[in-house]
Amino acid sequence: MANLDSQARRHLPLTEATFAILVALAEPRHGYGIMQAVAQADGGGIRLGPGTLYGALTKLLEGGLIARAGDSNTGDERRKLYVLTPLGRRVVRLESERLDRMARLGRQIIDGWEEDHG
Amino acid sequence: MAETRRVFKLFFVWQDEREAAWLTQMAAEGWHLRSLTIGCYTFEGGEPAAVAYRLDYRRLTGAERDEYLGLFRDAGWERVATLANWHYFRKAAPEGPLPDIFSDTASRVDKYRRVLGILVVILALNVVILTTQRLPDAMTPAREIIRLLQAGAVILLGWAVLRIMAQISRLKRDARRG
Repeated sequence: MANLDSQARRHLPLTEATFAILVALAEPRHGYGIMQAVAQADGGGIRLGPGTLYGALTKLLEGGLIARAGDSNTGDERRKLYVLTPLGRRVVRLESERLDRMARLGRQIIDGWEEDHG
Repeated sequence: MAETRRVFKLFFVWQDEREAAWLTQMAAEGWHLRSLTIGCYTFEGGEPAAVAYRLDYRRLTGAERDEYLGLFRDAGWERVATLANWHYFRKAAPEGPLPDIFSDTASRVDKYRRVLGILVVILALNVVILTTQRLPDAMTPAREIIRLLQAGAVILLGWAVLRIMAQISRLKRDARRG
């Protein structure tokens, strides 16, 4: 576990696009499915360019954060599926915790300001 | 049979954005890129249209290429041509700003790093050849010309490396300014 944690920490911090892709891959999706999921995500989706997505997928596969999960056949189109690995899940967890800590820190200060200014 | 037109034009390796903007301009005038080889563009006449052109640099194996082009196709981008690992994409943009194949600075920078990687290898090879080769004395007049051409190639490649590095710094600086 400690080993997985230290391995996962090497990938932090993530870019917004990479984080959104990992979150989308909590379940197996193909590239187009990732673009749709990321665009529709709660709390403001982001538009993902195909060049950015391809580069991120290549790096995440190399780093072992995601793995191939076979093909999906919808109609005549065959697409590769990807899914989070245990390492990828750990990276999402650690990054979420890190962002939580930062957000808490920020909110403490913001709350103080609101009291000052009514 | 649509009217075609060939245009001879050279862009340096660091001018891919300028090249894309020119192709967009041609499309606005009703000339749509059909194919290209080094320095020679073939356009097909048609309706003037707002079309975004974007270039990516990537070396791909056959299987990778299918996956890569599939992603672009799904996102509505048509691959028009591939030349020396530069992939030319286009997408109709009838309204609003022109779309991009990249959506963040990190991936735009990565593209120029890939270009930089190959340029540095070619530059290193040229430097090695220039500094180690011994041409026979009998070639004396030709030898000077060959050396001059090689030196020119090294200078151009070195300049290209600097320009690509400047491009990367510019992207990072723009990102910091937001």
